[in-house]
Amino acid sequence: MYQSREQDILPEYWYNVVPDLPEQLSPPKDSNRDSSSIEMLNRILPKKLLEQEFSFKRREKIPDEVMELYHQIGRPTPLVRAINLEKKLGYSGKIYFKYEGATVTGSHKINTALPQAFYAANEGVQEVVTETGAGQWGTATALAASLNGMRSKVFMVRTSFNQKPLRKQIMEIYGANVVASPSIETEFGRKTLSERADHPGSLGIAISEAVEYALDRDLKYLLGSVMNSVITHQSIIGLETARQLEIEGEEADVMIGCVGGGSNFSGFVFPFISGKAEMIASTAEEVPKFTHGKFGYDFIDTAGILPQLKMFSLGAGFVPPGIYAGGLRYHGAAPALSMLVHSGRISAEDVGEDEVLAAMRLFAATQGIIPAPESGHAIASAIRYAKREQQSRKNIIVNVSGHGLLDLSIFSRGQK
Amino acid sequence: MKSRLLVYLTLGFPDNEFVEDFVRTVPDGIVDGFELGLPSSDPRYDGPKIRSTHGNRNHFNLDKMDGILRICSDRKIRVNVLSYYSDIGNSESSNLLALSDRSVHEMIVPDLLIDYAEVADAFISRLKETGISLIPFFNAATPDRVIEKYVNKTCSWIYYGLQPSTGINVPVNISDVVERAKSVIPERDIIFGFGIRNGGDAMEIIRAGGHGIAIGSAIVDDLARHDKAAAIQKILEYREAIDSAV
Ligand SMILES: Cc1ncc(COP(=O)(O)O)c(C=O)c1O
Repeated sequence: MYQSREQDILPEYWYNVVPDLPEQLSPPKDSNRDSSSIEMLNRILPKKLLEQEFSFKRREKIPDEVMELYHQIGRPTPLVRAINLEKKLGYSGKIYFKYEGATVTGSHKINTALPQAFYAANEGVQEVVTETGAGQWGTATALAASLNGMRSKVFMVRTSFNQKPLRKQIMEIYGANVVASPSIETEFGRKTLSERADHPGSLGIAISEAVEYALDRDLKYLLGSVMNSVITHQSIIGLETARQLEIEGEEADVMIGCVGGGSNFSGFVFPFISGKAEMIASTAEEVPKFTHGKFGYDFIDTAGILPQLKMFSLGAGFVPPGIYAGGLRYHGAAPALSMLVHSGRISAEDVGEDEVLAAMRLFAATQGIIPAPESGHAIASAIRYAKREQQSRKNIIVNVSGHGLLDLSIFSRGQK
Repeated sequence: MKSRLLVYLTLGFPDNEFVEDFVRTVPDGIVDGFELGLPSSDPRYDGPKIRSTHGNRNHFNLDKMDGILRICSDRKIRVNVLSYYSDIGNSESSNLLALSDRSVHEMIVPDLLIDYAEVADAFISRLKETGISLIPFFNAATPDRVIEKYVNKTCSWIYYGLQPSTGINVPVNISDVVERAKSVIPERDIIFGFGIRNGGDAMEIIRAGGHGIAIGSAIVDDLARHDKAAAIQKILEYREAIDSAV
């Protein structure tokens, strides 16, 4: 059921959930007494992005240029009824999946990379810098930068760098300069390496390096997740889904997605937050931020250059095991999402590797799509739900945040 | 109606005598109210400028306010007190009474609805019992339903922060922020503060429908230098800006 009535489906506005939250969001907290780390954001983020971050407009107009780019990279993405999966599971209700893997870079990350790069280019920037875990965000940044006429520099978490040479190659084809993090190109990277020469890296470290690199060279830094403006851009997923369900004459009863920093999940569910749908955030058992993390202020990055946010966190120094789903390795989660998990509006569950790999295989066998391992968590949680409530007639809507065609190696090392 | 101008001063900064002298010397008809900050050990929603004024906590006691309050009362300039819940929330009711006895009847508590929402109702009642009304402090991140709830629980004017903390310069679309505040709180006066950088910002606030502004960071450097004239000059400029906006 690929829908082609694009104009009907693509929204004109992004949605910012903050005005509709049940409680007030705690603002970012400065860490330094004499200088403001919030103000430092002025130096590294595009002005327009910061304005979106701190103005909290419920509806944010999508610029025409970004809309055109959205069309070019494959939006709207399809909402597909997973009939084969339903049958296989013997589920009495319906299962739909929103397929963000259909974008040209293969994941939802391009949804925010495009506007961020557009805003940076508008300010006359020649080069943008970022970090990447799994490689999806780096890929999106690399393409978004080149579509907006800029160069890009990507600090890639070392474990992924070693495991995913193809990701690196794609980024380079898009024009990016990719280095493994921790690297010797920044002071923080050098310091980290001097403490542990074979450091596997973490997203927190890579963010620190990218920010330092941008500050030293007056470049703009692009954010892959966690910040509220990113989630606002990602609302395009949920807004499209809402429209597609409406066209189908269906409603969402259960919404399920995976959580790394929280951007695909939040973008998917927040437009439905005032409704009744049950919402389940699926996280990796190895990075159990919601079930074992602390809800309080913590740093976005390991070096503590960026402000602190009030969120669920396993600690900014958390070095996760080198798990198969690199995009879920982040220690924290977006503040608005954290608040809604804390308040109970959104529930969370951890899923382990074996269950995820089995779910990915089942999804591939029934629907033909090999999902990203991150998205595999969402699918595994959906399968759990459908098995548990087999007789229910609920519509389960799953966000499949990306494809896994570049992650095939996990099948040979993980599954028995 | 004339737009209101509030000036924030941290008590004891740069020293108590200077603050007294300052409130005595500000020319008539310029400042509608002073917002007096009780020195805090954790002024978390203040930016670096104002944070630097909070150093004298240990040398401060409420008696030191008396001279300032007397001058304001003589000059018919309104006063409200800004204090963090983290400092005052667990203090004895006698401390609140001590404020009320000094004719302080309005209080801004910037961290109350953000970090202590679960005890906010009880605290508002406690304040009321001592004769103090809470001036709700909202900002662009305050959800509509939180605003509606606390507007209903209070009856004063509203203090609305433009920025995530005071005196910092993240770009904010002022008109958007003011318009949203007005649409959610149509019936109360709203004074905007926390991060007004210049006369242009002040004008934009008034033009978008704000009832007044509060400034603080703008004069901290002058106060630190004990330069009363320079601080007063800045205040006059803000006055002119908001007067010329309408
Ligand atoms: C395909 C995919 N899904 C999910 C994530 C997790 O990030 P977020 O929670 O911000 O969506 C990533 C991150 O790299 C990813 O690549």
